[in-house]
Amino acid sequence: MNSVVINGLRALLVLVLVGSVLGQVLVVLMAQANGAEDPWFVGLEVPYSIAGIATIACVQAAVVAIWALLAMVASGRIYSGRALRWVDAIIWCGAIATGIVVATAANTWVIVGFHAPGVALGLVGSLVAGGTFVLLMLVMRGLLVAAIADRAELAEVI
Amino acid sequence: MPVVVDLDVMLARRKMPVGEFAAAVGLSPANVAVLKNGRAKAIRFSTLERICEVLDCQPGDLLRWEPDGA
Repeated sequence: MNSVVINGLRALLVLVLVGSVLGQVLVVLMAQANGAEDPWFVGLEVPYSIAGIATIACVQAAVVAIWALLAMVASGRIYSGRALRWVDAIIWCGAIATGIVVATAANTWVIVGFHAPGVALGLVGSLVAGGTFVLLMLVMRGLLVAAIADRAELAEVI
Repeated sequence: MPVVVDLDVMLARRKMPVGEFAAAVGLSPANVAVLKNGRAKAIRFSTLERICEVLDCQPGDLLRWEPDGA
């Protein structure tokens, strides 16, 4: 594998991690600002801040898993059962993050009764994007499983 | 295993030590042992080619099919 690609991706992943930490701070500030302005948001500052921080934490955990997989790619150990555990971690991160965002948007729409187009868009958008991501990762996991089996079989050829 | 590798027979006929054979063919001693013990699941044509070259024999001299339960 091209080391320029791997190192470039590593550099970008660091930026993503830094940006996500800033995002976590921003979520809290935005929740406070919203609480001061919008009456429907009163009392939701803390739970929605927690939801935002947890969602971004899922992204951070996925980035760590990608980092670990990248190290395995760089050293040629990607076709092993250990890699599957990191892929599973990414899939779970995607599923949990999607669940949090969908639940938050649904809560805003149904229970709080705040019917803004942005909320509906967030609900449908996160369902479609999160579902697509998780299913795509499952397909790629299946490909990795097949590749590991092929590798193991080829290793027995003398 | 229905297909038997008669490598030890051919090595004895050529009076070639296993270490020398492994080095000449370019196989690891471990893989030569796998071939001799009949634990090999697959062999490349290129490997077979080099073995035939080193032992000056035909693939048929190395590989023999035995019916199951024989």
